Amino acid sequence: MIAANLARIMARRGHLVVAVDCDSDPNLALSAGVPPRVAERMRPFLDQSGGKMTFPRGVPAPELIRDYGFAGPDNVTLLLAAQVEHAGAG
Amino acid sequence: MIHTAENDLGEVVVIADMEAGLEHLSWAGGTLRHVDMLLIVAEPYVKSLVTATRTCALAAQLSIPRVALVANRVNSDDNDIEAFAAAEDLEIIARIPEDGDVRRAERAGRCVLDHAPESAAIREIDKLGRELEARLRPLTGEDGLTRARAAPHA
Repeated sequence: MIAANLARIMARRGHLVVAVDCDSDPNLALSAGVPPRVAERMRPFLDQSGGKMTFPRGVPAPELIRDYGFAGPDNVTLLLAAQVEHAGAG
Repeated sequence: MIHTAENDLGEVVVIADMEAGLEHLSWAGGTLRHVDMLLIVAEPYVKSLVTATRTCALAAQLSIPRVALVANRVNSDDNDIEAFAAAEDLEIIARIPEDGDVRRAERAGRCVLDHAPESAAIREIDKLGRELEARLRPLTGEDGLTRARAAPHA
């Protein structure tokens, strides 16, 4: 609740804001006011394929944001770090 | 929760909402340690304060330059977080009150800022935003960026 509202408030104050949900049970987008059906379209940027979560190699931050960033309310760019996709994966 | 000016993005405020306990600071070799400030959200409950204690220890290990506490869901007569802050030698940078508007917004599945923009909780988060702005401004100013580019993170 605090991170989501802080992100939007900082954006309203004129900052470019990127808000990253690093929780394995993510809800930052919902807390920021993104409807559930829209929020579920977000893709996590961490590579979870090897059973371990790693950053995509050699991807600069602006590219990461272009590929995974999601425009939220007040123009906050939302990023989803990870999401447990099925039981046993996390 | 972490608040950072990410250097290779220019003047961007990056807010990372972390899991309680910061176990995943190990992600990508602890990349998330490269932050300007760590805000530890603590609620006046024993379990929350135990988690906050662990987080403080981790933050110290990682040499995060600024660490402060955000007291959340506090009533005016709560002083457990003050005692905790004193014991950990941490500043309480904001006190978000227990607020029925927050509960109602969450029950309605809405952002508190949309549902109750005038609520006490939002007023306090707004104050926190101004405070962070004042403290972190030097990092996002031109000089800060120049310094950061001269010494990039790995």
